[in-house]
Amino acid sequence: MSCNDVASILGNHRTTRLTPAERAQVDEHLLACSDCAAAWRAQDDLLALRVPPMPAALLERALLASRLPQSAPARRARIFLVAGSVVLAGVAAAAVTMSVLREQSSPITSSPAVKETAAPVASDTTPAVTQDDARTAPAGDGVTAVELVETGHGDVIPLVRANPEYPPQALTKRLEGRVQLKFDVTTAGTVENVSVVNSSDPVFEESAAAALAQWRYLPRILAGKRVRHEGVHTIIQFQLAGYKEETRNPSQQAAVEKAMREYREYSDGLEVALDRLAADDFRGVELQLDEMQALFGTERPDLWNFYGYLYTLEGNYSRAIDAYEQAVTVSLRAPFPTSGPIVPLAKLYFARHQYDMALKTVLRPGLPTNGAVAPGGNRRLSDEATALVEQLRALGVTEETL
Amino acid sequence: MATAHPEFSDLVAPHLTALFRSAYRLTGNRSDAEDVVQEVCVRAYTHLATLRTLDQPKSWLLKIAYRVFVDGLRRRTRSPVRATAEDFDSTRSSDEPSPEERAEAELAERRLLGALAKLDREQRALLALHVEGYTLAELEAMTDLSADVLKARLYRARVRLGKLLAADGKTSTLALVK
Repeated sequence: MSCNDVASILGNHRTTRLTPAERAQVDEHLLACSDCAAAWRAQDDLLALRVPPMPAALLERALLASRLPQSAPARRARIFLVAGSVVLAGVAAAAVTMSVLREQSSPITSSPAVKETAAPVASDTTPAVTQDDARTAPAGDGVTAVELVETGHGDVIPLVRANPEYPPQALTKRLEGRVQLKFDVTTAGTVENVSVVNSSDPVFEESAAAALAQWRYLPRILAGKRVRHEGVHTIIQFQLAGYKEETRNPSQQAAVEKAMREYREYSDGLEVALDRLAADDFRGVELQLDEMQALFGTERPDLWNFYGYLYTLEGNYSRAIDAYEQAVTVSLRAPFPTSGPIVPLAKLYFARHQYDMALKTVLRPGLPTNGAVAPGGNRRLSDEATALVEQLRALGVTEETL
Repeated sequence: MATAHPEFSDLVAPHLTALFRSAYRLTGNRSDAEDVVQEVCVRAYTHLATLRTLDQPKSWLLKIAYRVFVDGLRRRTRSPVRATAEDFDSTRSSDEPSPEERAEAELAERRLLGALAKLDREQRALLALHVEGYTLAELEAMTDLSADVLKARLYRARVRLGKLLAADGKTSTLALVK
């Protein structure tokens, strides 16, 4: 038995019937040859793939499509923005860096499945705001005009962010600053009741609040339902990066504009998905996410997070876990990892009584605030993650028992 | 509203299931599969005269599907009528597997689709059509490749896929232990 014979058998799947003796020869060869073993395994897996039934109205749709005017251009652009850090440009007249320092809410257990087991955690801790959390993105070599930097510190991470305008008065004075805001996330994921908690200078407040009002989040899930999430905090920081407008050459300008355009397309796509989610059109959300992955690739933690969120809502926890695991994996490869999927993933494991996995997930190294030992020797965990660790400790699952 | 051309729909309808199945295997998800089928219909419609004369319209349609996929699916103006959940879920089989079995199968399915996505388009297309049950002779007609070349490429695609699957199994376990 040779590799060529195995290739022939695999190639003639419909006509080749193996005798027991031949099958034994195949097995012997597979043990010795890793290539053929891999090929054989692939064939088994491929045959196991189920094909869903054909959608009922496919013919009607296909026939309709064959009569439509055909003019849409191909849209296969990839965004080269990095996860967790969204490089925006071209709005302000000078370079600014705007950081979202920290977003979090009071710790309330929010996974639908955790509710039976989780001890109520209601200590309403005011979100601590620490300036040193900001991983300010590099100013770039003259391309960056405005940057949003997600610290990944909180458990509430915006999917769609509008770009705040750098207040012209602040620009002329070359003034930097920050604004802490409080707001509610509705069941549709939109932002309401924006109020300023404090700011370094009132000049920034209006612009920060106006931008925030346009952001979109994944709504919080409580006991399997989407609920309004009140009292979420965030900080928007305005920084000048010392960049001069006139140094931008045409090719840089073009690159910036392209990135802007692609970011807008990406945001628009997410908004469509969020709107369908608000309309309970789960199937529509999934189709939209599938399409976005086809357009923007599979390296976007946001999209995997969204899948995880959707499957959690649908009660399909194994798929949800898989999607969140993908989000973590993809995020770890990104230049700016996000801890976004960590808490939901840990809660899913918790709900399935996989306590070790839950703790490992929370303490996973490589993600901001998750297992990374901060200066001073303390682990930095978000409040929700800390609450989960406490629940696990109560069950006797600690780092030492892992 | 299903009347682009009555004759056209009569010619295409009998092969639609086969087209959709192959398109799903090519793309790995339903919405892209639908786009492939729609694109095939769009192209076939412009060659209605050819379609009429064919003895084997199915392999001709599949050949288009193969090209559509390998050349990269261009998103055209879509049919304004989109699939809804009922289109898919109404036909779900009655012998439902247990939640564990389903979870298991879904995980395996995701892994497989993930690994398939890493193959190049031609490899993926050859595997998809072959696994769907088309013989090397039928594939020859669809791809204009010789049987020997097909056999070799199919084998290489399987080896690569098998190794991707094995590597995926390893990293996902390792990543969790870490």
